[in-house]
Amino acid sequence: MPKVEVVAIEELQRLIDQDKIVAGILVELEGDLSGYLQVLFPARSAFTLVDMLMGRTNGDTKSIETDMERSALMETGNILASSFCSAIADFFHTTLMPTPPSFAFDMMGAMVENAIIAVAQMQMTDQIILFRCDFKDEKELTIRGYILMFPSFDAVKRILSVLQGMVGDGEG
Amino acid sequence: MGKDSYYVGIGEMKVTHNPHQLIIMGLGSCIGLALYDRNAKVGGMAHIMLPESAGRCRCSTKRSCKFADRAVPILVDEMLRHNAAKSRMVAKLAGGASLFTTMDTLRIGEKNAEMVKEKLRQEGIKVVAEDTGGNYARTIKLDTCTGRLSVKTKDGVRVI
Repeated sequence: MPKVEVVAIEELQRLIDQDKIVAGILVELEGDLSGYLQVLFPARSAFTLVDMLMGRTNGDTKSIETDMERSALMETGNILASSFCSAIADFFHTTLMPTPPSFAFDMMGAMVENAIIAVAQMQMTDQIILFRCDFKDEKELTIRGYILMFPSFDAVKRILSVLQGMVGDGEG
Repeated sequence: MGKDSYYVGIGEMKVTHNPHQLIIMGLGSCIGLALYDRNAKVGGMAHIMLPESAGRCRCSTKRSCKFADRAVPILVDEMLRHNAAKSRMVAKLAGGASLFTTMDTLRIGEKNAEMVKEKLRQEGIKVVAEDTGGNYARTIKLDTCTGRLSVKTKDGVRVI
């Protein structure tokens, strides 16, 4: 089960390890819940994932350099982002379309900063929805991942109105 | 005297003096602007997010340095309050990268760097060193004893 938190932008800057190297996938969200979605794997988890996906012995991958390695991580992130989007879209009875992903392997602080800026460009929001998840395979190898949703102001309004509607239905 | 390190968060600024140092971690398309007065050994840093405030003045005083057009004069004023002289101030900047191709079209990093340099020109402050652009993150550190700015990337460190 993922841990879900709603955090303010300024808290997020303190919460994360800004210098830490992570593999990050960024998609833009289109539809009623616009904004950005980011999937992050800490370097060690990213290496383990590449080992699994490319049939290597656990511990073989020590850096992300080739296009194959980048694309393996990008696809995994993309699949996660897409299933996340369809789950959210179902729940809120709305549409949520992720754009094709882009990938970076670099400092976590810079990746998060990028999405904060992009959302600020559209419409100021100061809240971010952060999901922390651990994935385990049959050999109990743990992959740690973070899914960060940066909703636009319109998306936050939409989420709140749907939630209010649900509460209203309950009372009726 | 102890040597302290101050971390400058997004949209914030800080001015200090020798022997302390100023740090911004994980700069992406933001700009880290460092001002320095060699005689007074006073240094300041701003963590700038976007080029123009364009009427968006809802920002709190704590994060008054979100926008380049406002950040530059604010940082200069704070330097003056710490006994730095405008005639001796020099600027170094780093950051303004573009990490994700999804966001290339916005060219935020590039626009940030342009606006910061334009504002510095208006203030009459010379840019003596710059390490901007590219597609990688930077962690920067200003040493107020020497005015040197170290720029760390995932591949190594250089000093500008």
